[in-house]
Amino acid sequence: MLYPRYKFFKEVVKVFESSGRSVPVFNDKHLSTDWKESVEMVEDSKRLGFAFLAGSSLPVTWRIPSIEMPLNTVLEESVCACYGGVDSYDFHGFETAQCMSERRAGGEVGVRAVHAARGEKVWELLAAREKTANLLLAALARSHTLRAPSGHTHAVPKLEWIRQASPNTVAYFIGHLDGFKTTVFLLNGVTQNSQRHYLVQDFTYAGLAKRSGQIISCQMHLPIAAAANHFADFFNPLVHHIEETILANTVSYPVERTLLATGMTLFGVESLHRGQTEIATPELKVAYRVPKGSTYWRT
Amino acid sequence: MRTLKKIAVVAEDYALQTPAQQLVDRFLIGYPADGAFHRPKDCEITIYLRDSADNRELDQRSREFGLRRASDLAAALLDADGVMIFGKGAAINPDSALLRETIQRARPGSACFVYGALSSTLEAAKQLAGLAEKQRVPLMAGTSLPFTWRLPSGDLALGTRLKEALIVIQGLPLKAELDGLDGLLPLIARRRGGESGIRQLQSFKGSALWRAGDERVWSWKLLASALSRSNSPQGDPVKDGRTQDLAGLGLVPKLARDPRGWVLEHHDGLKSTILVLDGVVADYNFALEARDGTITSAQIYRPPAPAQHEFSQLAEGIEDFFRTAKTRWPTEASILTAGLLEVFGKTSPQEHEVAQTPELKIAFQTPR
Repeated sequence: MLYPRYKFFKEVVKVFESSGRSVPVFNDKHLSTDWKESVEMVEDSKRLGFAFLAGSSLPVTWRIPSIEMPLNTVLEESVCACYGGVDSYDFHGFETAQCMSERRAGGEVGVRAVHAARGEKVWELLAAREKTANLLLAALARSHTLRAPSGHTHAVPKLEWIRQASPNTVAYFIGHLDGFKTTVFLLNGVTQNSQRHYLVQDFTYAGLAKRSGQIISCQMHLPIAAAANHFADFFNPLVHHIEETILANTVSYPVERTLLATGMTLFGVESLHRGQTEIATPELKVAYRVPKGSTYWRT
Repeated sequence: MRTLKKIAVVAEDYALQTPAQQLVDRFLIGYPADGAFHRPKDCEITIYLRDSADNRELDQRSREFGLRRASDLAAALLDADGVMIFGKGAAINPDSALLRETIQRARPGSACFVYGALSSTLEAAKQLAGLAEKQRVPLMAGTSLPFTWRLPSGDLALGTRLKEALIVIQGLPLKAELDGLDGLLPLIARRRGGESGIRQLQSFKGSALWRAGDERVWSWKLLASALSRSNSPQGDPVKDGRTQDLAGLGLVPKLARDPRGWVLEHHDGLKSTILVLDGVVADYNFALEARDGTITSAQIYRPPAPAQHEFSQLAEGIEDFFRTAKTRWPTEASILTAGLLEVFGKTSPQEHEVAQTPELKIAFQTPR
């Protein structure tokens, strides 16, 4: 399903232009399904001077433990371990990683190339990336839902188990222009007797500090009541930021984060479509800085 | 900080999704701690299962992780650095005779963790604590609630002048009350002066509970604050996902099934309330009001089954206890909990009946 966000947005922009008055706009999740349209949306907001907030609730929800990436950390790589569909939850994974990565020394400079893979190819690529594999295990050490082998209730994250329990994993290997790396894993488990057995059902993050080798990790906590799978309190922090944006006509985090995550998603899907090959992305030279303040939910 | 060479487990039974299984597995397989998986190195885990020799899950763990089985209690406890003891099924405490024998036979200096309450009577708890002291066996009893995450993260500032406290829980009699005490007592013991003991208590059920709130015996304001931390409101949100101010809209009495509550008056004037509200929310939440009017509230987070990673937090606390022989709270806290459980068990909630509890004048300070 291609969500008509660009079409809706342009209708809004038409009203702003004809009335000569603009108000803040929130766009849920990624921008458009087309890169040029996504860029146009951001440019429209700047041309007409309205606050444009967009994206996922993942960057602003509770974290377990409650930690922030210290601003200007010399960071080497970010990994997000999560679940869900291509061109849907992968975007949330990118925003999970990006809200931490963008705080690295030098700020965000944009993306050089995107390489998506599925199944066997993932494990082949990962075999040559020891640091990425270690970060995946570190992220999963923050998961509260990692599926355990039969007869057990919790599992130790190990590559053999991940490969066995989620053989068709989708992974996105992102190369940034400053040499930084982002990797997102969709660990959707297996389907048996028409029933999906996810490997994880949460979003976890691990980042590698370059000089110290320290790993900074947490879970972006999504409270989803077991009795009501549509009750989703992680929207509370996001709604809070939407309200603040409307009241102040300014955003607390830049829309460029969502623009870049949109690009990672679009080119990731394209990479899968082109036979899991790396795609150069000169279009994704999206550089931005974030304010020192933190925006995730602590209250 | 000592090296752990052997941990003994004394359990009345062992089945998946029980505290015994969750904790034993953490020491056998490892558990996440501070962002990485951790397992005590070269530490033998030996279990003595009192009620059944045959157990498929234990056989599997012996094959896969080298779990040792002891045919009797003495063999399990021999040379153990730490001991974990578990009751049966939903019991709130292990069998007192088994616990007594365990303490008697434990090696002096080895640390003993009791899952749940030390006992469900004051006298038995005092005797067990006295025996442990005599045998030089550091003793700690409790559940995962004092160790697990809070949403938002935080603790009551040590030395806060506290006026009133309230916790909302769910569950069967005494199991829920134990959770309420384990969730609340470690928090409020951080107040100025520490815990002073319980002077008297009142109990309420059904409509009398709501009247007591209206008459300010307990605080609707603190209940609203605690419920604001819930991520599992029941009723309409379950049907259609809406957000709903359960307290503000007066829905709590309509949703609650067989509600019961306990209002404790401490010797220093603090009032603390335990509300067992099945059907209102499905998570544990508390609110604390300082004398300056500041309210602190949070959810006591219990991650989902089957992993229930609050047990990982507890495992970390137990391992620290085994290595240092230092308890997170004094034994008096466990004695007070046992005494309160005894009163709760004997008291049939009646409107406005006040039970004097001179025997619960048990004071203690919490470690910094």
